[in-house]
Amino acid sequence: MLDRHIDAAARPAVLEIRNLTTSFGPQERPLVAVDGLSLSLKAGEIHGLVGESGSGKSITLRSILGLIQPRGRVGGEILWKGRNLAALSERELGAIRGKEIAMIFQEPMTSLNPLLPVGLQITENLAAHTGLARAEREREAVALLDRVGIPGARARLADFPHEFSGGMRQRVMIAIALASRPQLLLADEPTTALDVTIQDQILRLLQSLAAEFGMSVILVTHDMGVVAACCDRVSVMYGGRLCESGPTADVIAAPRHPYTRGLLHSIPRGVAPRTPLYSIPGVPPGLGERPPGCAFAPRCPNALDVCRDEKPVPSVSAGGRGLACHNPEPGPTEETR
Amino acid sequence: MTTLDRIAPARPNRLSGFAARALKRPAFLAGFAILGASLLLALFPAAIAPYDPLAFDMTAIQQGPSLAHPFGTDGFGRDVLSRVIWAYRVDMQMAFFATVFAMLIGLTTGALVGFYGGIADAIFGRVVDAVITFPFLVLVIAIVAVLGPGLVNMYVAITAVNWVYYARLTRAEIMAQKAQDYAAAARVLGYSDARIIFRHLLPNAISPVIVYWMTDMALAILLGSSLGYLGLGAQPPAAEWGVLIAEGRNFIMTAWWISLMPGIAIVVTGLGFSLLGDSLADLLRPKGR
Repeated sequence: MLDRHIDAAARPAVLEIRNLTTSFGPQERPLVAVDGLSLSLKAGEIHGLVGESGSGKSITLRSILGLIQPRGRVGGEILWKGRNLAALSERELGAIRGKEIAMIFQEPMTSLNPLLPVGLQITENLAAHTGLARAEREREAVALLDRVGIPGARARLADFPHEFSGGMRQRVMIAIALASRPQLLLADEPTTALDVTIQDQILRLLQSLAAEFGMSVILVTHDMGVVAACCDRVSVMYGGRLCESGPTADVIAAPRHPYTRGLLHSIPRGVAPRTPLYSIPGVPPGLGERPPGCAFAPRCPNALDVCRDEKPVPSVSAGGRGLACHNPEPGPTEETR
Repeated sequence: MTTLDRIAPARPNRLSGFAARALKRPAFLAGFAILGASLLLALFPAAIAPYDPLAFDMTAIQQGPSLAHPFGTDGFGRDVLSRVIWAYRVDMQMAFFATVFAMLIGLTTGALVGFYGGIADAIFGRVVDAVITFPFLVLVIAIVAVLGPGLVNMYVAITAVNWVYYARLTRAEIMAQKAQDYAAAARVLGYSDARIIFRHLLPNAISPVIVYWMTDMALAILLGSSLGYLGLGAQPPAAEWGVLIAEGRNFIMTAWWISLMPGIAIVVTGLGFSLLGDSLADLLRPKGR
């Protein structure tokens, strides 16, 4: 575990997002869904992107692959192996989508084409992105289905999506996404629609695949438990902005942003039965009603006057931890150093 | 799971599953039987019709239905049954050719404007408005009047108007399918637009179009017969139901069978297409898929 950590820290970043801003609506009165997000991802790293609904996690993923244009606008830089994805044309992006960067979705029930057998949907990706011959593609499809844990893979190639359960469909989705051996997998709440035991299996699968293929993963979720279970690093988003980021263990052990604390506090641990569960009071602001200062200020227990008027500027401290807060909880760094 | 797989019986053929559901529907069976019979009559009229449809028989003019002539004879002594049977060939062709090109053009156009939207879609919307402003028949008759009467010109005229309806239907279906997750998934996999549209979206969008096509073929027979009746479609002495009805219209009081028998053929065939179309609509409607 420790070895892996040091190893990961030494590797260069494959994906570097700088000041990503994604907005919709009219130019003069834009609705900003992602506001100045920065994030860096190393090869083989699993990065969790956490936040409530509407915090801009999914839009961030979609921005990376250029899926929100032409309706939305993407600003900032998305550096993938030295190329700025935000500035690429649709045609150039098409060559990267599916081949270098793949994506899986929240709803395995609807993310597969209902009219094509799953074998065909896997070989289709192989045909589009690899030079394999027909027989090799078929063999590879069986190997992939087998690898993602579908029993009797060969016999199931001809089956249609409706003949699989939700968890199995998500495995099929992963098999399709992995067919072209992408270096980055964007997983948009891949386990949200699944029950907890299946959720755990899928997460373990993603983890082992990432290690096996040296593939990086950005895992969007609203579940801190999922992050704790499988992510190397985590970024917490609120209202389209980054609150806090850092190595998962550090962030969970000593959260500094009040929102992160609230999120962690919301996980019931050792609570007696029938006691009310904690939840952060209030609701996230809508796209059109973000406060001028810190987005979390109206719900924040630590809010100062400055929080309401000024956006906190993200800063990076020792240990690779990022934080955007005017009045953070005291961290271990300040206490010990 | 694996044991379950092993003990599960061999899965039935998918097509036979569809057929099994289809065979339980009387409407489907009736429509299928009518159209099957119509198709046979259209393909082998010479083998089935008792007389030459064009042969005059001056000894049997305007005779009522009898054993020798079940549908009677017309003003030239031609056997009405034989003429109705030979007319299947022309009218089934009309049902097909007057609609198939409209469907193909409409399907492609609708898929493209539905997928890309934007200016093309706006222009398409205005074209639709312009076409549906006119009553269908009036517009077709106007175009045939310009091109001149005849079957081929009639196909051209009907196609020129009719594709709009298919395109409108396809566009709406494609837009609905485009919003589905699997469409986003296909885009994320880096597939080309053509592949996404024609391999992923269109097959999912096509069933309402197929159903509409069935009912449209019934309409095409009615329309073709109407134009034949007006002298703008098939030309006499060719046997075509509309032409046959027109031939008998002067004798409707004295020799009703000349017009009535082809009229019944139109109704029955149209019914066949409608029954098949309706039951296909039910069968193709996704249930729990």
